[in-house]
Amino acid sequence: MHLKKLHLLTILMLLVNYLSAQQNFVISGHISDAATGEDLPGASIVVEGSVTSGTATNSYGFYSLTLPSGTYRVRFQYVGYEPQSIQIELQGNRKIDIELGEKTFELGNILVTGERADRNITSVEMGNVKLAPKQIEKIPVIFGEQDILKTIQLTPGIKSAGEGNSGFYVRGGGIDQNLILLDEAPIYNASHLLGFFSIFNSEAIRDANLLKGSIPAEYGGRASSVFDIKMKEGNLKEFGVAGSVGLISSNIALEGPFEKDRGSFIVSARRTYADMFLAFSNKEELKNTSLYFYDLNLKSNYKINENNRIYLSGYFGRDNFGFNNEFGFDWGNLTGTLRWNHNFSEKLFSNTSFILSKYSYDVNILGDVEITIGSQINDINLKQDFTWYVNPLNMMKFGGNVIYHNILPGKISASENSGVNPETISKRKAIEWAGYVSNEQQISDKLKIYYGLRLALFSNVGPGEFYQFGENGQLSETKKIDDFQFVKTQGGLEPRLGINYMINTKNSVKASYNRIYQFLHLLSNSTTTTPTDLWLPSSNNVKPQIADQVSAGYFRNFNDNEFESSLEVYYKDLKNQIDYRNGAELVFNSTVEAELVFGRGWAYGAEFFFKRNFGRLNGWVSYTWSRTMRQFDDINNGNAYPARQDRIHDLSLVGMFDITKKLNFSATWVYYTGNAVTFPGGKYVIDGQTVGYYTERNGYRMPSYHRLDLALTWQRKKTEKFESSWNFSVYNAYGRENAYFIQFRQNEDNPEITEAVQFAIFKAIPSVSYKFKF
Amino acid sequence: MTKFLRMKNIFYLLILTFVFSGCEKVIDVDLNDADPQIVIEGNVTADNGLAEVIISMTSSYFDTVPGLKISDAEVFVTDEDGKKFRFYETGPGIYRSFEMRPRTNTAYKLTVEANGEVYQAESTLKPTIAIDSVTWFYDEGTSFFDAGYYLNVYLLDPAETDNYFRINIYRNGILKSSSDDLIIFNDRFVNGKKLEILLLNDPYRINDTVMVQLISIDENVYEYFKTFTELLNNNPGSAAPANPNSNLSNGALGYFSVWGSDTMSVIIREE
Repeated sequence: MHLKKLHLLTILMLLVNYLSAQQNFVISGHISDAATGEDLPGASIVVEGSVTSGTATNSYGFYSLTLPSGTYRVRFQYVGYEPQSIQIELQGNRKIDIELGEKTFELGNILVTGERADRNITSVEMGNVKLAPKQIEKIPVIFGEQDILKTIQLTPGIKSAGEGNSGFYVRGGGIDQNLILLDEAPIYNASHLLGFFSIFNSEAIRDANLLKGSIPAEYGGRASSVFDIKMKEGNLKEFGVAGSVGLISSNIALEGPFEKDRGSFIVSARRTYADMFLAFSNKEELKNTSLYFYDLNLKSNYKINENNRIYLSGYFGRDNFGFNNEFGFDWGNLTGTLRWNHNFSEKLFSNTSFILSKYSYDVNILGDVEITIGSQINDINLKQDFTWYVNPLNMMKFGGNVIYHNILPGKISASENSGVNPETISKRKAIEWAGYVSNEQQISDKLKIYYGLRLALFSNVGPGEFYQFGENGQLSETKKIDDFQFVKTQGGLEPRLGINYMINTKNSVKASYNRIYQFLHLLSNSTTTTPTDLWLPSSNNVKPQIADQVSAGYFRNFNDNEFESSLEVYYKDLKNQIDYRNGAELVFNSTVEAELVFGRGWAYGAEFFFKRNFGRLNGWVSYTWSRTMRQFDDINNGNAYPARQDRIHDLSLVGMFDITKKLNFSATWVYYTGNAVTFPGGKYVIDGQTVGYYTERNGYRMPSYHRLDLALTWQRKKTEKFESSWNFSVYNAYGRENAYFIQFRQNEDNPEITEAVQFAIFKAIPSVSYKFKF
Repeated sequence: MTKFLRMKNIFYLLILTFVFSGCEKVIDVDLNDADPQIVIEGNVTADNGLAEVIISMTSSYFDTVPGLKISDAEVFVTDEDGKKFRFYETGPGIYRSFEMRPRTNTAYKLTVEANGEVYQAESTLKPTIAIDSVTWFYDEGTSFFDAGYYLNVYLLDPAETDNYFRINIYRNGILKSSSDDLIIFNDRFVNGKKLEILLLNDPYRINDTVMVQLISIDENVYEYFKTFTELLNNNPGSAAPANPNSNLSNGALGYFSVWGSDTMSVIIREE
């Protein structure tokens, strides 16, 4: 079977080669950083004097370019690096590996996304944002802790889940509609400390790419976006140590080769120590309270030979909260990714990944009785991707993916004397299947198209219990299913289309259409992510969510790519959205499906982005106008209502200014319309308690939110061997009391009076951190 | 190595400044008044035959006068045999019946005809479950709890049925009625066990007489009070507030409950 497929592939390739009558040869190889040996993904290869001949490296730094025999001048470039130009006599296939050296700047940062400067104009992709920690390290942040999930919220179409929160909404989608990948492993809960931090340690992250518009066919499984985060690979040339010390946390990273130019590793660790201050408390039970998290990132790669390379990466992180040896609560993620890059030929690149990912939490009640409550989700994931550089005008990608999900919704174990009955909720097991094929095709000098198709399927499998519910949600039948017996398979075809018309080298218009199925749904009885949120698979009772999005945009660069700007519009339709009835028991409920209600959603908006890529003063302006609506037959009398994240205006200003070579000042200002919230339309008394009477879901607005953050980065003496910097920042510099929550309640002194009380959590928060590298 | 030593020194030089400040303030909010809705609070107890239904209307949220009482409503309860118990208005919006003697495991149906509409609800009298014992202990207090005497209430949960409870506490003869005193629980994870209910709200002092009333309610009333307390304790980050899940029909707010209870009194003495 396997061999047969390979044969087919070879025949296909021969056919294509045959069809192109002229003698064609292939230049292929890797582009890497001269200092560290790390791959440079998205680096461009340009044939001078030709508009269409050119390519870019894939996410492993590999490129392949097919050209008719002849002599060419080929330029290899990557923003922020010195380009290299090489004369190539092409009389046969050539393997050319290039190492590019970083540019040294006198003044001015670069704030470009690492690729060719005009990539936003030339590529068929749209609605994508790329960030690398290195480029954003000067942006002010809360608690002085760099966080890629928070910085991404400063770009168009991406909205924060709340004050200081690392959760985010993309183009009207829910928090669970973002596929967050860390070295290809899906992360089920990306937040630490109830959302104030993300699990992504900037010291361990190389780059992150958020896809919200055109989502290529190789990705699937979440309805609204893909946030593809890649860990650093480790320096192939020399050993190094880097780290930072802050008020809340410290981290340290060690990297280096274990075989020069062939194999390297990186280990980075981070821990918070907010609770260390508690040790100074004079209250005994606070002294014994712990509240911290830690992260460990590991990655290693090894070049077996020029056609084979393996990567092994892993993440382990946990939050821990303990109170006076009476109560413990810990939660976290564990992921592991083993990848094998293989070149079948100069034109066919393959990557095989074996991925494990796990999220779990445990609540422990200790003392003379012991009770443990736990839940977990385990994935085993096998993925195969091919990139086939068919000819200079076509690049095909195809592959497949099988994920085995094993969800334990809840388990209570209790000691005999605890007075609690031990109980385990039946596991929910499922297999998620996908196969895809896509092609990016250059039709003419000006027109590039992308078309792909993904087949996404989801099968519930045994062993497990499956339920049937009557009309009023009462349990009518429980079916016990045996091992690996298939129960229900759902899903369908997902077309992915994109088009780019380049008006000239400075202007382009693009459009795209995507359909995406989502089979796992987050059940949360709060508005932000919490550790006990439960992922519920689609089943006989829960249909997959389906998102259809069309978007279009105009992209324009000015002044030799110094400035880039874009205007994008989108409309997204969401089917089978999930909410739950009032008073729903979401935690530890085997028939939780009966608590759900289903509806639809739609979102539309316009996003404006203007960025100065380099210079002494650089930064960006991002403005989004958008609406996000939901309609459920069982909510709000069936009338459509704005979703919580329906913030109509959302503006972010980000500026960085080099005062001197060593001193950089930066500021961000954000403004957005308040969240849609539900306020009472009246009140009444029951049982002596006054409560509000609610008639309309999300019919009101929180006060608008705005905040200014400032930071000063002071680069200390930089030598070959050692560099360091101090960062001073103030979050919410003018101390705006942004409403976190508005509570309607009786006046404490006079219960006859009812009042609205606004809570704000953060006023100005100064922080300082120190960074070093040697 | 020297590098590391130098680093260490720098670590110690680090100045920690960390300010965390929360704040709350009363604000003006412009609310649209909803059309007033009827509020019905009906209780029938097996203990002493008290049967009372209070009917009123919702008022504007920032009004300082209570909602309008509804007089001249037609109020009655029917039992499973179709026997009808009429309720008479004894004060504005307060309706009472004196002849009801509810029987265990029997469903009763309340009908209220007011403002030209009919509202109905059904509630079943569950077997009363006895309090096994009430104990007290002294706690020095923590940052979350004040120092003082706290109570433990014990009861034996019958294994054969799902049970739903409410506890009322009378301190020196006065019903405690802050929103934290509304205690609702069920036997979901503790079916058939000896239950220990720790009452952590507001400690007691020496010589306090505390009467604990354990009320057995039906599932729908439990559901009402569960969603009612969720609304009372609506916290930051919780989902959109909604009206409690009432057992009344036709959009009426409130509940109708037929219940029985067991009580036990203790006097807090020095140990």
